[in-house]
Amino acid sequence: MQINKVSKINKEGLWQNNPALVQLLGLCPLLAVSNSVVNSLAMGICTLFVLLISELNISALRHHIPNSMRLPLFMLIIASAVTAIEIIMNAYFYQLYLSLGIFLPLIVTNCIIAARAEVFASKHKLIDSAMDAIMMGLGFMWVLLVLGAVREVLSQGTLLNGMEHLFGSGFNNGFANLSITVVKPQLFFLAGLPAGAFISLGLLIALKNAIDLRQTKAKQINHQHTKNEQTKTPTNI
Amino acid sequence: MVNSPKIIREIMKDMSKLGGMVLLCLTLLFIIYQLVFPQITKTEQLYFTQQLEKVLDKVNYTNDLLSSKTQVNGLISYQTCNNKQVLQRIAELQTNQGYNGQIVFLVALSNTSISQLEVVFHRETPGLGDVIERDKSDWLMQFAKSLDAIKADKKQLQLKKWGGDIDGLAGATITASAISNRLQYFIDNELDTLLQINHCEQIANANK
Repeated sequence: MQINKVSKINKEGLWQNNPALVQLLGLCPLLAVSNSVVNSLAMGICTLFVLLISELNISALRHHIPNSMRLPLFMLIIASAVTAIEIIMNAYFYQLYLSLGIFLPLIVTNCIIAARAEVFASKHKLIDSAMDAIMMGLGFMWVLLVLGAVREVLSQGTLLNGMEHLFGSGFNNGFANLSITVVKPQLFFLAGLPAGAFISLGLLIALKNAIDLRQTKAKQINHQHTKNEQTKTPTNI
Repeated sequence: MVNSPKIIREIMKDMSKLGGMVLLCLTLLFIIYQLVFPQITKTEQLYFTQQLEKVLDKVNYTNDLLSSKTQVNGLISYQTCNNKQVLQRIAELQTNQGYNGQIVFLVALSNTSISQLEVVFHRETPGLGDVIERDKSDWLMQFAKSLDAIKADKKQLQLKKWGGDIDGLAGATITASAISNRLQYFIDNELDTLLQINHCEQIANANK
């Protein structure tokens, strides 16, 4: 039962109810920051942490939160988590803090976090909420990363450029240069602009839907096969 | 109406819960900020020094760059010295005309021209306005021109949109204009003052 529940939460966050591809929440940072892998990764990690901190707090306090004060309290907890993360980014990852700019404080208004607080954390146990936060965060992050990678290759022709901003300049020296030049000239300048982000995300959603459709069809065919066999067997006997 | 005192009591109870949470959150944030504050100043200073060193022509200079900071009529500048002689002057220009508040950038002058430019701080839109960063593109280097040419022809620092020579930024006209306007103001009103400041002589005299 417990394992079933966990795997259901995993599946929901990563694929079936993916915040970026299905719920279409948090589009503002998703589209704006996904112009390179580093920015995507940083944004994904920040969102994951904010989700985790806020869902844990809300879940822990869920019996004490008065119904009428629900939303302001959620916003208060989320905003505090974001501010804390912003201060820490300012101190230890200054270049990333600069390049994420306004989108870091804007995580407060990211609908995923408010939605998960309202829909999940305020009704479930601590561990389940933590699980949900991590899976929703990872679901958001992988979409960000895919978008970031595609857009970076198309618009700048590089991959993993500027990774040292996230892991310190020693990272670049120790592991040689991680930045990979895939194609020298810009392939498709539009991909780096907001319009390109919309198009890429649209294609990604279409791809996800196509995969889902194929799976349901396969399942239906399987189902019919088993049904046919079941109906055949008694007649054979 | 019958239940009104009860309702008011309920509301007050909820309000006090909210107030308590606000206080708790503020205290926690204050503690976190106090803990990492030294680190923030350290990183910001380190970053600023890195940016300063990027705009310099690599010539051996004898002074401490950060302590050469001088402020005359609101214009902040730095100088590299070889004993009494000024090797290079760097102006730190600030503008509030950016799309999202302040933009701070460095302009390094060689003898006859603007030699290097570098953005130190900005909060422009990622993907559009942040193209002013040198890591992302060389857009800013369009302003690196000979001082005589700039003084002779105002168009040299103006955007193409306003009849000048500088390519604009797609989707970030305000950002581009902010920098262009600030530079024009610098050339028209502040350049002469900057060229008269001689920090190096002051240091040399002080050392004697």
